[in-house]
Amino acid sequence: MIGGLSVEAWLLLAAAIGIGLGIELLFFRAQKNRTDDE
Amino acid sequence: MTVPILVVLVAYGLVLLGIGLWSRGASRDVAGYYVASKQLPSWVIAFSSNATGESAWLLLGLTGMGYAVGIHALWVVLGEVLGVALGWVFVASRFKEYTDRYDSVTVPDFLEARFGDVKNVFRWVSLVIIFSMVTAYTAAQFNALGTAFDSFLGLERVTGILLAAVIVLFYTTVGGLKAVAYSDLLQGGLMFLGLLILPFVGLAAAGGWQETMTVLRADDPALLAPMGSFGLALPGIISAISFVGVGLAFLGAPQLLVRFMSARSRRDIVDGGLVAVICVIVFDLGAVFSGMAGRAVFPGLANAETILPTMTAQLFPAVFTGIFLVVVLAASMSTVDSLVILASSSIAHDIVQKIYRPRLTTEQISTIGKMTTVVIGTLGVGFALGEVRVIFWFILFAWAGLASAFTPVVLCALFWHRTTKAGAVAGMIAGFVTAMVWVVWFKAITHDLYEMIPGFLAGFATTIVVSLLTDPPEGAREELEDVARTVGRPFG
Repeated sequence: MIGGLSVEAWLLLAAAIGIGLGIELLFFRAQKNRTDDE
Repeated sequence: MTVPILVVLVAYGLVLLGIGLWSRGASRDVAGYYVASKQLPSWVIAFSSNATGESAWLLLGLTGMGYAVGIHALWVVLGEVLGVALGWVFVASRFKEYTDRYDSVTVPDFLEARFGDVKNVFRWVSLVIIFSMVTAYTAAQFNALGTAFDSFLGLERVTGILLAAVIVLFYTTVGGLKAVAYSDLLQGGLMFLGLLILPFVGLAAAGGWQETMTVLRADDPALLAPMGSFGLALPGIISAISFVGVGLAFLGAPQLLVRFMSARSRRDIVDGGLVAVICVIVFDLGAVFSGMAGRAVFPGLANAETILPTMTAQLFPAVFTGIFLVVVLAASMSTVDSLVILASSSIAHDIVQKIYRPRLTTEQISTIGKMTTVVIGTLGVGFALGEVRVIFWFILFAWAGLASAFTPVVLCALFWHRTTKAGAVAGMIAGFVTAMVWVVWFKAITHDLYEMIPGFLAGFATTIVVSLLTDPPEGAREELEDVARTVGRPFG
């Protein structure tokens, strides 16, 4: 139990935010690098 | 109604009317009216797509879900954040490139050009689906607007609906998509701030994070369990899948695809995507944690979906009650404006201009489009006045109906060169009909599996099978490869 929530609950929270945000950040960085190269 | 609340409401209404007048010059022709001449910057398309996708359901429904089921509601957050991210990363640029090449103004324009549909089949099928779903969806949103006025201010529901309708229809009719998108930016910004502040105030009122969790655990330990009261049993898994499924529509519902089409450039899509993902995280987490904190402070509400009005009335000074009323109004209005202009385009542009009156000038079609917008909005008001309840399942139903019909077909069209016209038409009909039929006959016996899931599966399966059974379209592979080359790989 961390901060009143189970580990599973924290994992769900991390997945809820992290998967989508991670994909978007990878895309953003790759596209910006490409723009800089151009 | 107190003076501060009245001042906030009047100021909000005036700003919206001002946006309508400011945008009127851009709405004189068809492209200006329906896609803002494809000149919208990144911030505007990002907030506009999120504010359109979310609605009163976010403010009242998802906060109510946080109140009723606690942490289990995070599955909705997972689905929506993932849906928004995948939509911007994989769909937006490709769709923008295709629709620029075809000079498309609507999604049926894109489908017609992509599949060489000379018989206007996509336009008619789209009209039926969009018109039926938008009328129902708009009526539900107007009802939510009336209920918001009633629950926040005690104002008569009918008066609230009419007041909101006059404002929305004015700026949508006068300013077209530019007014819709910029008002969405304002409305999305208000929703963002409201849902950023509310959970912190709620948690503070409950005695802090740790105390909130302690109170919720004492109330019902299932409120803090990812699988809720179901546990790892089949109903729990189906419930989680259904919650995630809500986010699938962000991959290709037509009212959201129009935003990608209206972007100024593909570079704006790169910037807009990051803004959209951060925005939806704040929207959704804010709603869920507000609901949870609200349960710790105000346990035992008869209707969980009244938690947001309850919190704002009890925890904030009167002027903030007005601001939060505006936030709820913003959530509904930003959805209604996009829906009525979508339905208007499917009549004035897709049917009148493209089939029956191709010789009318683009200015004349724009005028017909404005009149159609008023008629569709009035129809929605009429249905709303006849139905006194706010039915959130109905909003989710219309959301699923639109997305099941269009998203699988649009994804196949963008990523699979072998998709044929017959496959796409069959997929649209199958996705839509399956979502409808599921609600009537199967939902109750499948632990309430959300109709979006079978609708999507049927849409994809039918598109693929029928496409494989029909002759491959000529030139589609070369065109798709050229689009892919132009857009480039998302991550490299």
